[in-house]
Amino acid sequence: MRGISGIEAGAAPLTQVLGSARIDASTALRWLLVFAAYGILFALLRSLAISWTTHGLFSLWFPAAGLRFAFLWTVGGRRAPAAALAEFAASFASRTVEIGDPAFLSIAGIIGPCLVYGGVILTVESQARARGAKAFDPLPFAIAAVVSPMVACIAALPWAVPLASEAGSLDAHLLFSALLVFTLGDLLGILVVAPPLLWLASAVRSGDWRTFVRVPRAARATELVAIVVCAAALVWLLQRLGDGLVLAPVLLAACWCGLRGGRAAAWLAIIATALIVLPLTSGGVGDAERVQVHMQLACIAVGAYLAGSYADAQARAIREIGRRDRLLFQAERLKTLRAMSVAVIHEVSQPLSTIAIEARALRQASEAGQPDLDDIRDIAALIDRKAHDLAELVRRLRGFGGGGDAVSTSQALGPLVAEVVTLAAPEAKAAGVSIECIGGPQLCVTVNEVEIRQAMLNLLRNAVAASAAGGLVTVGWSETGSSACLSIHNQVAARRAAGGGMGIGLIIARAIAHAHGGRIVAETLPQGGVRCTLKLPLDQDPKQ
Amino acid sequence: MIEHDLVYVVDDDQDLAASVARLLRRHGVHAEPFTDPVALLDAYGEAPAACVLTDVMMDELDGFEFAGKLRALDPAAAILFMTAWPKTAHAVDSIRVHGGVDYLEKPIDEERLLSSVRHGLAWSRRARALAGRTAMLTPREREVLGLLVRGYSSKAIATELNISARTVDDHRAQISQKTGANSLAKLIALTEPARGG
Repeated sequence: MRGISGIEAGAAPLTQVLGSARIDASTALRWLLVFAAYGILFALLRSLAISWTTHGLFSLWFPAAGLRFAFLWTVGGRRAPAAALAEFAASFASRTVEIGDPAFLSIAGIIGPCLVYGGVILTVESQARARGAKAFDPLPFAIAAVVSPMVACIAALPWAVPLASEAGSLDAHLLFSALLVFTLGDLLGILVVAPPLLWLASAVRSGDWRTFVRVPRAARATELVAIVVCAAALVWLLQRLGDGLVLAPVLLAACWCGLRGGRAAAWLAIIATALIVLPLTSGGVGDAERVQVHMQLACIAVGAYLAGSYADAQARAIREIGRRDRLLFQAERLKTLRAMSVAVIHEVSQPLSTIAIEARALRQASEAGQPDLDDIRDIAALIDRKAHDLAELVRRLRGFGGGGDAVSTSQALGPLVAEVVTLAAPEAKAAGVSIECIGGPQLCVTVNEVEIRQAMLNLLRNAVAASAAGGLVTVGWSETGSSACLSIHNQVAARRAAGGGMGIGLIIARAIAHAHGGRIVAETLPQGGVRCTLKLPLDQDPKQ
Repeated sequence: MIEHDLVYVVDDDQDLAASVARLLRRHGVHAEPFTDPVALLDAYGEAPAACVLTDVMMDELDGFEFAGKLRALDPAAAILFMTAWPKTAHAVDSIRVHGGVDYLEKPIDEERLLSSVRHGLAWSRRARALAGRTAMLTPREREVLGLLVRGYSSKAIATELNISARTVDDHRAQISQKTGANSLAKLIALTEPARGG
């Protein structure tokens, strides 16, 4: 395979430039159009940046860099050479750049940043993939976005130094401030332009527009807007007091937005700041002051966007942990089912035996010359009843072992406990332990039905396992303050070693209780025995 | 009066006990269902059965425990076990330790159940007949019989029981006369109903 693609790449240099080994004509044409469109857009944005050109060389606000970053992030870092070519061709054709002397240094200066961006994106992509993260995870993107301009700045030295010293002597101050301007311009361009472009791209690609317009809840949005407005007012006040344009309050506000509202809120804060600051710094402002303000703006953008990415990554991690918890709970439910299989097989065999015997009797009765209709009716009724029992058993087991979803509903405690006691009964019977449900008041709790049943069953099975043969486990519940307390009480004859289980049942039950805002208390009673109490918050408005 | 083909079916699942009993009745076996083994033991003296078919896993009383108590009440009742959760150890114990005739798995195979019940009934009939014949023996004669079937000669029995060889011969003559067994093989058969054909 490798050999073939090598030959093809050698035969078709265009293919190699486009970065893909095997493409047919229509794909090549499509890519050609994509790159051409990219080049034209890039040249347009580049011309937009001219009013922020500082020190005659670079712009303090370079939105084209945002387009470039978003484009390379979407199509992959390895397509950077083709993108650089497109940028160069479009810019050259529209005369937004001029090739100076010597030509090769000048060309390197024009296509260099694009190649560096591609390299950084490739590195971040491969690093993220090596860690098992997805390439579009919030943090890898933020890091690549922040690091790319800096790496491009350092990589620019080989051609920037000869170009700057062309006049004869090297003005180091001028060179480094130019590079600073270059970095700030790219940084702002990327952080302001790239995120919305990428959101748009992912929304178009997945067809799911909700990820594109994920709005924070009203209370949160109000809080963030209020904070940004306060910060802006403080900046205005400081300026009126004659301290110049001090953006530190906005920096804090933007970071706060990022931490509380994720990338979307961070980006909006950045945009709001940029919309206020950029008009102030376009055109007739002194270069020094302009650099200073843009440096603050870049700090705000970097800080806010990193904070937002961090918050989004954390939210994503929490969601992922929740999802894995569900999987773990589900696995544990299946393990419990397996452990209960002995008792369950007994439960199935009993009615099945009756059905088998009666069905055969039914056949023989119906084959008789003079069928006894009363007899046949009785037999059929018995078979029907037994089949119903079996169906009920299967429904119960399926309901227990099924994959739980994340939905919580209001449940009356009584039926829930009764169901769990029924599930645990066969096993308890086999162990010679009886379960007595002493009941309690009518209470309602909002729970994930599947998971809370699992927690209760784990506690009940533990109590049965800890009891000696002939023991008694009592289950009852009461109302304590704003909590429903389900108590499972068992006598322990002697300190029994934990049975065959992995001891994970109680841990799972605790995790489930915790997820429901409740907890589990296990206590050894002075009069003997162990009492496990599952406390769950009561519904505020119980359904009767 | 012992009914020679009476079978008790014991299972704490009332429907299953009744179903099995009905099945047996359809095949000409006189069967009665029971759900409570304890109550059955209490009433057993009044109406002993030839064969008892019992579940192993029951609420009140474990099937094996029940078999032990039943055996003490009536050594000549054939016992069959049935279970929804068969285990090799249980199967072996049910025959070796608890003197069961068979160990049946649920759902029950009808042919096997019928053949086992018939086997149990035959076993019980023989056991009762033999018990009837040996019932006339005196305690000393039983002792002598016990040693005879273990291969003791008259002289050895005399030494063992500290009586004269002549007395032993008298006892042997009495045993042969009362039971009609005139050879060692028949004497052995007398004490082992399970193998007697």
